[in-house]
Amino acid sequence: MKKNLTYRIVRQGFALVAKLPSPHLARVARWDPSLWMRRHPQGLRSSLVTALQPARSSLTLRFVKEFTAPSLFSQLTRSGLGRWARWLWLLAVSVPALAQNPHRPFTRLPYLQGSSPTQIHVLWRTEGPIQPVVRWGTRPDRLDQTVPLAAIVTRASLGTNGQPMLPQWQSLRTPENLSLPKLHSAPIGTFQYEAHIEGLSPDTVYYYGVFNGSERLTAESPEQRFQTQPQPGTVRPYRFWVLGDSGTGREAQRAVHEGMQAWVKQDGRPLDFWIHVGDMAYGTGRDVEFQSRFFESYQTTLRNSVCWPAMGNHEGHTSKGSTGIGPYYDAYWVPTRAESGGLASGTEAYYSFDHGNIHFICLDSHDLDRKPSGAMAKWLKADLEKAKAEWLIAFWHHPPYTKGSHDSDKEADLIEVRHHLLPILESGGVDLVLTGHSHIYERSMLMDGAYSTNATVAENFILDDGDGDPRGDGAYRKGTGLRPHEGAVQVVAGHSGASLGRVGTSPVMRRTLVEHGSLLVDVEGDTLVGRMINREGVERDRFSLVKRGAPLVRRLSLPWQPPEYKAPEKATKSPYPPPLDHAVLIPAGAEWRALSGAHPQGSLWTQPGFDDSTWLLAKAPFNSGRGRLLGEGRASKEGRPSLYVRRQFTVTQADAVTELGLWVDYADGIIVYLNGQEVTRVNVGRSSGRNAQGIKLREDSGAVYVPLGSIARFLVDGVNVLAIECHAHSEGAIDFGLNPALWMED
Amino acid sequence: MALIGRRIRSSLLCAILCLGVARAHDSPEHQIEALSERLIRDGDSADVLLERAIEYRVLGKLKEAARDLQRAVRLAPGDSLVLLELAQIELQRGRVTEALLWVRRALQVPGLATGERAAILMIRSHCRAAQGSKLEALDDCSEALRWNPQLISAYLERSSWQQRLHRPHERILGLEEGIRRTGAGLLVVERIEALLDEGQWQQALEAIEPELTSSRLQGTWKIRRARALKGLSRRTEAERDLQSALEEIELRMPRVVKDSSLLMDRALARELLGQTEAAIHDYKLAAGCGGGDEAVEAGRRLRRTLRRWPPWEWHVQAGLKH
Repeated sequence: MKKNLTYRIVRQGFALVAKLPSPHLARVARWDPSLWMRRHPQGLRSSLVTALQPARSSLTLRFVKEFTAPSLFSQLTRSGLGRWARWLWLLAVSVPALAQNPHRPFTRLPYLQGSSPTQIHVLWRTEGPIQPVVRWGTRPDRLDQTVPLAAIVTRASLGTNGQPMLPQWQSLRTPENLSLPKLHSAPIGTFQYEAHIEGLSPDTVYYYGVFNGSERLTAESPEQRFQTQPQPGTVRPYRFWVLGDSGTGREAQRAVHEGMQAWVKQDGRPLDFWIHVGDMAYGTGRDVEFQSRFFESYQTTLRNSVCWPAMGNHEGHTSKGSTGIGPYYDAYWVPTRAESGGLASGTEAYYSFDHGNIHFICLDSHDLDRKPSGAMAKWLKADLEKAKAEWLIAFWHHPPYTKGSHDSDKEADLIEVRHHLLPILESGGVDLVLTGHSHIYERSMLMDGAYSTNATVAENFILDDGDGDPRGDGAYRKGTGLRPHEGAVQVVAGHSGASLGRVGTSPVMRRTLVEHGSLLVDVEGDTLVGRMINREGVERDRFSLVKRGAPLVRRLSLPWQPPEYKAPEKATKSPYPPPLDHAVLIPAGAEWRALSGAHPQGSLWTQPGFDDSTWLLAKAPFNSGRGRLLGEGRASKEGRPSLYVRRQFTVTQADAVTELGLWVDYADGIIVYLNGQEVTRVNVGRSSGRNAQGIKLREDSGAVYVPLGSIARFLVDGVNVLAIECHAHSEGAIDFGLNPALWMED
Repeated sequence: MALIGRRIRSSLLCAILCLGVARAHDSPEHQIEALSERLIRDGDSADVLLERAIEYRVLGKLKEAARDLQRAVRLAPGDSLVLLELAQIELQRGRVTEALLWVRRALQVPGLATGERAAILMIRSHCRAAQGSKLEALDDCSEALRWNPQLISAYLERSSWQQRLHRPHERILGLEEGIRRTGAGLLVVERIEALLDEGQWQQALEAIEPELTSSRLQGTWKIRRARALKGLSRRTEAERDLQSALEEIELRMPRVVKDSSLLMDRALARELLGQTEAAIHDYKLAAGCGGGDEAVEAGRRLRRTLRRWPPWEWHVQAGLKH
């Protein structure tokens, strides 16, 4: 039984994954969990939260509160996995939900894209092909309409000729499958389905379900729903969420999402849709990063509201606006033929859409020509000529004004955006510009005309220097409709997950907040209200725009100026947070082959084929225990204690791994190798082995998370070798030691 | 050191490593610093060098970017992305021969995706243009479209070359093909421009009317209609349109830094009204704030025309051909 169990650390706790052989499924169904739970130890009783993600042959249980990741880490090491596994196995089999949960081959759960008053797209992915069927209706329990098969586009990732792959994927390389449109970077064997639902009524709530033939794959739940857009021009309250630079897969990202959800729930009005201004999949926008750092992070919001995306520079590492190829373009469906209003762009790199009385424009500020003579700017001008909505909102990634983690007075991309694109937008009557890139929240005064390539100044470009808060200085005022040069509010919302930063204060900004959060925008008739909601779900800024009558436009020669920013003398390094969910590839306390008191020759010892049979087989932790190492505590000839350890671990599908990291306690410096290649070093200056130099004293203590670099290049399917060398900073070090565990972001 | 059983302290020490995940300072300078450290630590890597080159490009340090990319090419000679980036950078630096060399290398990469091939061909087209080889630049646009028929910018650039090479019929047919394939609104606009350039006044007028009616901002469309009307010798209506367009442009023109797209419109309106010097002035301003070759060429053309004909004769010509 034990071999069917694995555990992984998840948000605020840990999860048990039980792989259930089919004979057990029936037995599980007869169990009464409430009875079992009453016999359960107090500590666990209140910590079992829910059964999560039941899959084809496994069930994940999630525990929280009592068992934080570090304490579990200690517990497991102290008690041994076996005892825990037995407890948890009993718990696992006590949940009858499993037997009722259907077969779910999803590798990406269904999400919504590209809506209009009469149509919407439902996208999802599976491992291997299915018979895709989407049913929909106006009640969750009556999905009486079916999307015709011809309206479902299938894309597949089937590798290339000669590429090593599992036999099951090799057999899928049939001529028929190979003729399908390609997914450019998804793991081999991935099938993506894009169902186009049309013939819908405007502004109507529908429910949907995804099936494999007749087998239902999604739960019958009111959460599997969508609402079509209202007819263009319809005036009613609209709410949308804006976030940027979120895709780290770390705790801050989750907190910002939950903060928004909590605020919205309390307020009682759900989102109509949301906008992501880019950098949704750090570090390079690979497909696996999209999966874990966007789709899994926002799944509860993605399944019932459309996300309209803009490409960030991190996605730009692997996706190109000029070719329309890459994971970003695989992931999204956006209108290219004016399916949702606006002027057809003919490309997914930039597009526009209408939502009620708002016209939205999305630009690619990363890798397309930003000049007025370029295709994108020409399209922008032509689109603005046609826009007739009451409100005009534009979004893209690079901010024209910022002093956050980026400086718009120094960086060419940002200057070009300001100099070339803003004049077109402001002469077209833009009201609100949403950007990211800079990891900060900045919100401007009502402003117009600051396009200079030199440093931005506020004088004569601010039209209203109040705070824009209806409870304070009052809302910003503009005339009815879309009028040129009556002012716009600029919001930089790059604070939704990535580490924050600030270099100064932009003189046009009324509010600058260095804290994680996102922006909620409400539009109701002639009034727009923006609220910055922080990670705790607290409103931290509010501004409002009211478009009524024809107020006098005046330019302020001496507008209010924000206080000068003084950078802290010594910036504190923020800790590198571990991933929210992860599997343990090498547990703490595992057996390693170890060498101490000597140095191995060259770097062969880091390679997979190295014969380590002469090395000691020993269990971590390897500590000096006040001076002793491996029971003997020998120092090397150089006098400085050193330790070399190596161990194999297995990865089923290397290209699906987003991140590997060590949860490691060490002193003082370490160098980590993956399959013979150095992937990380900490506190070791130069060189390695006996020649290692510049070893610094580790000043703190305890386990920390250390991500491994370049895993995409060195990790392979099957068996891999992790090797670590650890050096004390001096001969007399008394805290020398190492206790590593290897984690994989899940 | 008690390694196990110790409560993990809330402040985890950050050990480093730029994994690509955003750090406290995400600015290009910090990114370059982090990537440089990584290169020293791990040795050269094409991916990291490409990343650093992109950061250098953001800061306008094209020489450094090119140097990194050349190192990356040595490590990964078959990486089309690196070659594409390098060709672009060299072209930006004005080193056309070098850019062409990298383009050639990129085109030889086996298994090149069709979209990438098209993008590389477009860079070659820009190189040809920089060398003054109009025909070859045009051919490259056409070839790029054979590989990626969705490439809007290639349709537009091809149209531009066809105009300069006086191939009006091909130009219109090419744009119609693009409209069929992509549905792009911009190509619809360009086709109307092509009809006007070709002197197909009636057809152009018929295409302009619905666009004008459906537009909120009508200045640009009124100028186009004025051109058609002038061609049809309906001068009074044309002048009315031009005056109305100028009023709208003035309303929309920013106070200090100018908007080159509006300047281009105003220049053309003034040109059509016979205000030649004012038009030349606007073309100059537009060229100075991002108007590109289009503005420069329009200004030069007008200047040449001005020398060739006395103003009153030129006035007539401008109505016939833009």
